[in-house]
Amino acid sequence: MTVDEFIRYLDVHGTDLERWPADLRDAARGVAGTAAGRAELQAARALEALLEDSLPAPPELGLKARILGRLPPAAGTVWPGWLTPARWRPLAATAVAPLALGFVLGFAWPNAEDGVEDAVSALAFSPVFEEELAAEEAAGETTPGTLGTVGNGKEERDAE
Amino acid sequence: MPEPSDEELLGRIRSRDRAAFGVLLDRHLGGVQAYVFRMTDNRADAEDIAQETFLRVWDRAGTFQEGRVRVSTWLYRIAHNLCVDAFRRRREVVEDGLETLADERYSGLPGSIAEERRAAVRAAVAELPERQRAALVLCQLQGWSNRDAAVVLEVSVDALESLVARARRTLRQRLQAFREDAGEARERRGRVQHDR
Repeated sequence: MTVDEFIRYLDVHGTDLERWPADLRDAARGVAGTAAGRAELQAARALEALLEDSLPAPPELGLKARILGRLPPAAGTVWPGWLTPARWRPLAATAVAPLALGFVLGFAWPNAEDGVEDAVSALAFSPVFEEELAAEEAAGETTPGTLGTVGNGKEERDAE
Repeated sequence: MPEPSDEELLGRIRSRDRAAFGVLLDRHLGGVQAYVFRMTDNRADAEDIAQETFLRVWDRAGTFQEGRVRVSTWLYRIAHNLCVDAFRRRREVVEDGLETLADERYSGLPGSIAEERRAAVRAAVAELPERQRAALVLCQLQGWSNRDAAVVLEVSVDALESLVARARRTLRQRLQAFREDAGEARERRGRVQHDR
């Protein structure tokens, strides 16, 4: 390899002789060992140093977070990510679970007040009660057709 | 447990796996941003293009054809094409007379000799034709092999080597004076380190 060829290969492959094609390396090392070859190698390294010094890699300041923030919301996600950070999700699930359970049980089990109303209705329209009411009307003790009679009649029965 | 390959990560990204996307970002964002910054010499443009590059990876992960090129090569090809688009838009703005070619980055107040030298180098690199600049940045500054850089730029290896050689020859001529300074400075640094 001549010095001129060495210079051409330096332009193509750079100054790191280990990265040159294997079939050129030994010849390149031979030329680099000469005064002329060494001078060319140093000149090429100076150019590389200039480039590396002048064009540094910029710092990656928060760009990753910005890119992740630009992704479309995941399928099924209603709330934006900032509203439901991952660390809050177990807490939210723990809080919501008893509410959901209470809601389900409330519908599944009969209401206690409904039971009272059922008992009052059964009593009001039972044949026994109607017979007692007719007897009271016949005796002139109550006014028929008033709502108050139901309550009053019950209290009177209790008193008896 | 071995680290997942880029190809495995891309497979998970196809299934909308954000964690895999985060790993891919950790692995390649710095390099892509550096490449784009060295191509555009503008930090804001570099951030925009790097961001757009990865958003396209997310959107188009399904179009990646495994086995034809590596994921990293595909990524840099997207970034490179976005750079080319940006250069084209910039040229259109200049041709429309909305912006002058003189760049304020190189016409500010004179700073130290080192700053002036850096500005001169950046100007010389910026004046290289786009493909020569891309080939030089990939092979010289990003450490890519000629073969991989050729895939990114979609040229043959011979064409890539020709681009790199022409870029180096041009810079060698334009930066002759600075190069000698830099060579001396490097030798001085080497001597100081050796003395320690």
